[in-house]
Amino acid sequence: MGNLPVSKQQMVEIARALAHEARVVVMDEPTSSLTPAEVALLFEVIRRLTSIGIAVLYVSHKIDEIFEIADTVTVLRDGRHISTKPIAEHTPDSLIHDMIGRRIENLFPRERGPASAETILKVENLSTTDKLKDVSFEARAGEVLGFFGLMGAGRTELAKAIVGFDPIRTGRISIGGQPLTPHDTRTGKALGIGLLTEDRKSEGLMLELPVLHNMSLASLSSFSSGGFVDEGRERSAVQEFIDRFRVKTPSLNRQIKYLSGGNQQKVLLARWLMRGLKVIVVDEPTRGIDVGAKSEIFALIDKLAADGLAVVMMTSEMPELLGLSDRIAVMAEGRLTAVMDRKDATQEKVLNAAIA
Amino acid sequence: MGDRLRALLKRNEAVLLLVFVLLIAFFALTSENFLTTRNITNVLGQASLAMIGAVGLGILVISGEIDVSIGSLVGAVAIPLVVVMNQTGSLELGIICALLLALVVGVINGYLSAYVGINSLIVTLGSLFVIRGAIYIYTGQKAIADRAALESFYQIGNGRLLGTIPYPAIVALVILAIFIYMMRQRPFGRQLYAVGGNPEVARLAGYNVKRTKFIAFVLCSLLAGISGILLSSRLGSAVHVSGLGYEFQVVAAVVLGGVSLAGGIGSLFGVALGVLILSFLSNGLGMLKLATEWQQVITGFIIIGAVGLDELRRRRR
Repeated sequence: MGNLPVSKQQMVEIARALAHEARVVVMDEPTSSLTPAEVALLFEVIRRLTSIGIAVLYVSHKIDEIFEIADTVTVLRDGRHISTKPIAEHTPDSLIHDMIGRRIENLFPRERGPASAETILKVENLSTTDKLKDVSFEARAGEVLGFFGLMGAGRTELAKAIVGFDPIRTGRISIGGQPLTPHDTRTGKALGIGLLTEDRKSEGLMLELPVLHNMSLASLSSFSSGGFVDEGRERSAVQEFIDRFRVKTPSLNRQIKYLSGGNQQKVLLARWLMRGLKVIVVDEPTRGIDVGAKSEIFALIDKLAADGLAVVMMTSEMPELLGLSDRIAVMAEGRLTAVMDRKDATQEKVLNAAIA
Repeated sequence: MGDRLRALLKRNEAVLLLVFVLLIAFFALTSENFLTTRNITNVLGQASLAMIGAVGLGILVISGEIDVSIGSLVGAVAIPLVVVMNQTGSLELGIICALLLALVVGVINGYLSAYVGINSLIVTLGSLFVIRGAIYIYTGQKAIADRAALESFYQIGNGRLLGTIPYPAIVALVILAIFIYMMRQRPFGRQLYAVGGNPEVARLAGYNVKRTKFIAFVLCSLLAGISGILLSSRLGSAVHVSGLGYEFQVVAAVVLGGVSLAGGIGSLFGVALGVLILSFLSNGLGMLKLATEWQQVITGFIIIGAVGLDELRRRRR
């Protein structure tokens, strides 16, 4: 069973529910690790289930899916019931309004100017033993370089390799003209590259520790004088970012596990910005985050690029990719299959390159 | 302010402090010889040996590793100490050689656990046997007498400042203070928490996890070495069975003090309270003329009870 792809495992689970003569089948974010073709297949199965009189409770945060599959939609926010309506009475805007309690004028505000010509990150012929094959690209100061790919295309592997977290087999990585050698995160940090991980819980947060210590983790040395952490300076720096990023927390001493996903993500972003970076790699920056906080994260990413960072963004969300990127790189099976300017990119072109 | 008070009461250390105070009060009421300067300073003198080791082990456990070989090391460092003193008549040289042995053991334990990646319980369980076996082979299962009979050697373990405070207690207090400060204020201390709490997070944040753990192993061994030197002075020789069971006493104090064996959680202040509670408990129960067998049973229940309660409290939150 464990050897089956996730899509097949889901089918087995659905079949098992039917074998138990289920009248209601609950699906919780079922498409989060499926390819578009598998999603289409899943939706076909759902339509057949409903046609034979089985109710499907479909939990998702993906708005386009809801419009495609739902008959009736119920919105929950902060554990409360907000609305239940037939889907026909909703527009995407009205649905978002219910989800976040206010209207978002523009999910992807762009305030930054054009990117500079200066190359900050240069990756040449990068290969790893298990996934990446001969990947080369450059990222410039002030741009958002979006990487798209299906599950297993190698985005996360690329993200971890270029910051020095995972080992590489061959290839060269340089940040601001300096080679990333030795290939570890310590050198990466010193050269100014950092990763905002897709897996906050196991690679980003120290759940039991307070917001304060989570945020200042990467920059302890910069608050130290004579080898001792100056807690006053640490606190004021953290407070500054809490205010700037509008992180909602009752105090700096609050354990970070009690914060919402969006606020946790802001703390992790601040962890790197406090340190001062040249390149930030963000891997699925809005995973597990509600729509309201998403727009704030998008605005922050825009701001980072405006401040002259090179932002390398790994994403599986097409709207995010098209909405934020200056240039778009597409990966398939560990290779880079296309790099295009945003203005030349369409959903179709990107998907074609991702399936190639 | 009320918020702060509530936050304080939520902390494990506050609960331990309360337990400690209640314990002292109980024994003071039930036994008239308990709350005397002589008795208290005696207990502190004995507790300081466990205290020094517990600071080292506390750091290591916070970093997510463990060392159960410290009892053997406590016994082992006495050998170079006494042998070198016997041959050179120098306490300083003896101490240097004892600490060198501790350093070597720490480096080996740390290298195998942190860099090679063998589970530290297994590595140090192995060292426990290797070191103890080596002690027996070298000494032929007999104590090595201190023939140099240096007054300074006698004094470090048995002397008292102004005739009251035992020197080992002062050593323990200084070490405790230095390391509490380090854990809270040095970037290295904060790294230890990060590394123990979640090594992947620490590495992603640009820290060298292996090196951090390695240093924790070395510190733990060096502190056990200091403890062994003081113990040897108290015993007046290198005793082949000294330090047997020391590791259990220290592990018990560390977990009682609220350090999570999973790493990343706990404080040295809590560890110190853990040591004091266990030391005064054993002293007080002894004064009540309770047999040592029963003392052990009670100590066992207290450890399980205290750690269990703490776990429940954490979960409820």
